[in-house]
Amino acid sequence: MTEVVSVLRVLARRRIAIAAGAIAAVAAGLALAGELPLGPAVAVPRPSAVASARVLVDTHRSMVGDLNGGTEAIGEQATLLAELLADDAQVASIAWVAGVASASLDVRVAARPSAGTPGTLASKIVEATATSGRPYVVTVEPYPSVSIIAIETRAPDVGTATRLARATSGVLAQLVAARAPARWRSLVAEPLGTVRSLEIAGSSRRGPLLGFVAAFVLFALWCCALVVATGLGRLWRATPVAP
Amino acid sequence: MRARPAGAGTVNQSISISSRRVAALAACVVAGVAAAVASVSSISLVPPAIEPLALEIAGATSTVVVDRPRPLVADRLATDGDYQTLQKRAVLLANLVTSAPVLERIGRRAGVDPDEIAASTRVTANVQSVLTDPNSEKRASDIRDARRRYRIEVQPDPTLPSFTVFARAPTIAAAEALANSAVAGLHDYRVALARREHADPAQAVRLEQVGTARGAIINGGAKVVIAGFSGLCGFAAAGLALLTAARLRRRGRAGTRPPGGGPREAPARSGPPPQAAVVPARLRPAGERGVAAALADWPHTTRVLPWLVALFMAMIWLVPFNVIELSVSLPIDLPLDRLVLPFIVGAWVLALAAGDPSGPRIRVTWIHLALAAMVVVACASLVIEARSLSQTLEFDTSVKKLTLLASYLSLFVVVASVVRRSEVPAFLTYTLALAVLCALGTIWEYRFKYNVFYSLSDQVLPGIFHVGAAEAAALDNAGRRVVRGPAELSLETVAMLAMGLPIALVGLVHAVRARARIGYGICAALLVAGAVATYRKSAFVAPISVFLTLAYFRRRELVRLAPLGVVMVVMIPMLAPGAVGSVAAQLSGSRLQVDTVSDRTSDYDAVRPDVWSHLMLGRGYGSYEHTSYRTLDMELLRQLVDVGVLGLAAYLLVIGAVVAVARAPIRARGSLEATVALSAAAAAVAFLVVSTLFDVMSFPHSPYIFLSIAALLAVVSAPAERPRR
Repeated sequence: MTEVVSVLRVLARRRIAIAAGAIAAVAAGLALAGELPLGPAVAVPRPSAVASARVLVDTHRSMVGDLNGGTEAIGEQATLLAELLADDAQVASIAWVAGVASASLDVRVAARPSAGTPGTLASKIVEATATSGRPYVVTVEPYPSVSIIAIETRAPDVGTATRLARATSGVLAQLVAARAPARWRSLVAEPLGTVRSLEIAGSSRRGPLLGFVAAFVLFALWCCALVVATGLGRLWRATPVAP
Repeated sequence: MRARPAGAGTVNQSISISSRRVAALAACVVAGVAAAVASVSSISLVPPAIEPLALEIAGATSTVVVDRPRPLVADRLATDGDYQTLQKRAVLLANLVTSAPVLERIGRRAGVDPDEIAASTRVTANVQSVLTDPNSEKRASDIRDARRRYRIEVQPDPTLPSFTVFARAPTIAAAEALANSAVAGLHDYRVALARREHADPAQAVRLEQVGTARGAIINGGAKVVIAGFSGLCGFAAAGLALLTAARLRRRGRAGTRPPGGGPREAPARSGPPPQAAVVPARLRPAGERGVAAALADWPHTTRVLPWLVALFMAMIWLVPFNVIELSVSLPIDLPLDRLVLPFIVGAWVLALAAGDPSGPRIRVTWIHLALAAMVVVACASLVIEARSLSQTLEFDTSVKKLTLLASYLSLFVVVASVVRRSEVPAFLTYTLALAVLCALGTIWEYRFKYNVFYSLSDQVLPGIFHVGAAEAAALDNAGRRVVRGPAELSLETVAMLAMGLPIALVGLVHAVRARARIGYGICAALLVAGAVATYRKSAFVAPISVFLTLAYFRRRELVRLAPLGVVMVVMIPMLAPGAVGSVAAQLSGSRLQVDTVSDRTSDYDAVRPDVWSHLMLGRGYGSYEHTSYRTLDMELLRQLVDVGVLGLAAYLLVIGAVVAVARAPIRARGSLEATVALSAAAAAVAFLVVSTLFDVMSFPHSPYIFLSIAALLAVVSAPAERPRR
C-alpha cells in the first residue's frame, strides 16, 4: 500500500486545492441531480410519446384458422410491403391521415442484418441516415417468419403518436388492396389488437444517486489531476536542457 | 563597477534554464499546431496561402424493389419460386447498375463525369468469404477507384427481390442526386434496350424506388480528429527530438554517458536484497513491519502495483477477455482488457507522479526503443495517410487499432517498471503456473467438449458483462474440432502455450533437484499436449521453434531434455488421445492442399498492389480490415500492407531486440538473467513463427503474453538503478 500512502502524502500537501475541488464536485453533483438551478437539469423538458401497433399480413381465408390459408411467400411479401411504406406517396398519405405535415414525418424501415458489414460505406451510410431530427417518426419492422409488421411511432404527444400508428396501419391496408391483381387474389393487412401508447416523462432531473456518483467521480479525477500535476512539475524541473 | 552579489550566477543560470524549458515547450506547441493545420489544409508557399481542405464526405441511400408488371407483392397466389426468380433478377439488375453503360447514364443525370464515379456491386449471396476475397487484379482496380470522389455501391438483398444503392459524394445534395440517378440511369438503360430490341413494355420488370434518396454526412468530425491526432504526433515528435538533442549535447559535453540513462550500460549485478528483505519481517518491531512488507518482494509485498500486474496476467492467460464486453451500448468497442488496463495504467501514473521510493522505475532498454520505433512508424503512417484514410472511411478503424497497440505497449512499460529484478523469478514461475492452467483447461475442453474458461467467466462476471459463446463441439471449414481454450482462435491458444513452453524447458535445463526437474517436465508435457489438443498444424510448428531456439543457445545441456521426450511420448497420447495422429495427418503432403494452406499462399499475390502503392509506410496502421478486404493469415504480411517496409522492419526489430538483449545474459549460464533471457528469447522466436501463421496482433492474448515476458527480460537487463534523492 506504499503507493497509496505516497499519493495521500502528495494530496495532504494540496489541502486547499482539494477543498476547492470537493466544493466544485459537490456543486456539480447537486446541479446534475437537479437540486441547484444550474446545468442541464434546468433545461425545459421536451415531452415525448410513443405508440405501437402490430399488423398481420394474411389472406382472406385467414391462415390462423385455416390450413389452406396463407401463401408460400407471405413472409417475403410482408417484408416488401413494409419496405414500400417508406415510399414518398405512402409517407404523404400517413401524414395526411394523421394530420401532420408531410415534411415533418419520417417513415423508416428497421435496418435488416444484411444492411452492410460494419465499417464499410454501406454501414456508415445506414448509421448516418438513421436519424433525421424530424418530430414525427414511424418505424416499421417486418418479421418475415410470421408475416407480422410491427409499427412504432414517436411524436410530441400521445394523441398524435396514436394517430400516426393508426394511420400507418390504415395506409398499409390500402397499399395491400391497391397492389392486389384482383380482389379474390388479394392479401389483407389485419391490425392485431389496438394501438398502445405511452407518454415518456420529459424530466431532465437525474436523481440523487447519479448526482452523488458524478460528484465522487469528479472529485476523484480532480485528486488524480493534482497528483499528476505534482509529478509533471517534478519532471519539468528534472528535464535536461541543452546548456 | 559593482560587485556581483553572491548566488547571482546561480539565480541567472536557473532563470536561463527555466526560459530555455519554456522555449522548448513553445517549440513543441508550434510544431503540434503546424502539424494539425497542415493535416487539414492545403498550404502553398508561392503565393503564401492556407486553404482548408474539404474532408467531409456525404452518403445517401435508396432502396429499389423489383416486381413483375402485375405486382406479386399483394398477390396471394405468389409462390416461393416466383420470388426466387425475381430475387435473381434483382441481383442481375444490381450488377447492371455498376456497369459502364449504366454508369454513363447515371453520370449524365447527376451531372458528374462517369470517369469520376467508382462503382461496385457487393456479393451478398451466402458463399464462403474465401471465394469473394479480392485478388491482386481486383485490389489494383479498387486502389485506383479509391481516389475517385464519387462512389456507388449496390447491395442486392440476399433473400428479397430488392437492392439498395449507397452513394458517396462530397456533399449531401450530390450524394442524394447520385443515388437517385442510379435508379433513373438503370431505368434509362432498360428503356433504351427495350426500344432497340422492340420488347413489349408490358413485359418489362417493374423497378420501384422506395422514396427519394436519404443523405447525411458520414464522417462528421473527421477534420477535428485528424487535426487533433496530427497535432499530438507533431507535439510528441518535436518533444522527442528536443529531448534527444539535449541528452546528446549533455553527453557530448560531459564526455561520458549519463548514469543509468543508456541502454548499453552494463546490467546491474544481482546484489544483496534490500535491507528490509534480509531480516524476516515477523522478527521486526510492529512499526517496521509495514515498511518491511512494502519493501518485500512480490508475492510477499503490500505494494499494490505488482498485485495489479499479477491480476492482469491471470486475466490474459485464463479469461477470454476479447469476447467479453459491457452489455451497454457504447460508441466504441470496450473489451474487458481495455476496461481493466486503464485502471492499472492510472494507478501506475499516480504512483509514478507521487514519487514513491518503492514505486515504479522506468529503465530504458533496447526493447523499449524498438517498441518506440514501432509506435513512431505506426503514427507516421497514419499522419501521412490521414486524408486518404478519411476518404475511404478507415481512419476511425486505424485509430482504434492504434489504441490496441497502445494497450500492448502500456502493459510492457508497466510490467518493466513495476516488477523488481528480485521479483522476476516469482513472476516467471507465476507465468508458468498460469500457462499450465491454460493448458489443462484446453485439454479439458478437448476431452469433455466443455470450455471452462468461457463458462466460468460467464458465471463469475456480473450481468453487465456479455461473454461471447464458445461452442466446444463446433467444427471449422476443414472439419476440425474448434478447441480454443481461453482465446478466440485455436491458433491463438497454440501461440500462448508455445510462449509459456520455454519457461518450463529452461527450468528443466537449469533445475538441480530431481523433484524440480520432474515438475518442469510435467509442465512442458502439459503445455505441448494443450497445444496439440487444438488440432492445429501450428501445434507442431510453434513448439518445434522453441526447442530449436533452446538447442541453439544450449547445445551442451540439450541432453538434459532427452528424458522429456519419453515423458511426452507417454503423456500426450494419454492427455489428448487421437490429437497427435490427427495433427500429423494434416501435415501429410496429400492434405496440404486444403483451404487454410491455399488461402495463405494466395495472400502473397493478392497484397502486391497494396504493398507497391504504399511501399515505405504502408496504407496506414490498422487500416487493412479483413471484413473489407481479405483475411491475411500472416501478421508479417499485414504489417507490410499496413505500415510498409519500415513498419515491418520495426515489428521485426521488436522481436529481434528481445533476442539481442537476451544474448548477453544467456551466456552467463546459471544466473537469474540467463533463465529469464533464454525463456524470453525462445518466446520471441515462437512469436515470430506464429506471426507467419496468423494475424497475431489482432488477437490480444499473444501480444500481451509476449510483451509481458519481454518486460521481465527488460527488468533483468536494465541499467543499474540510481538511488533516489
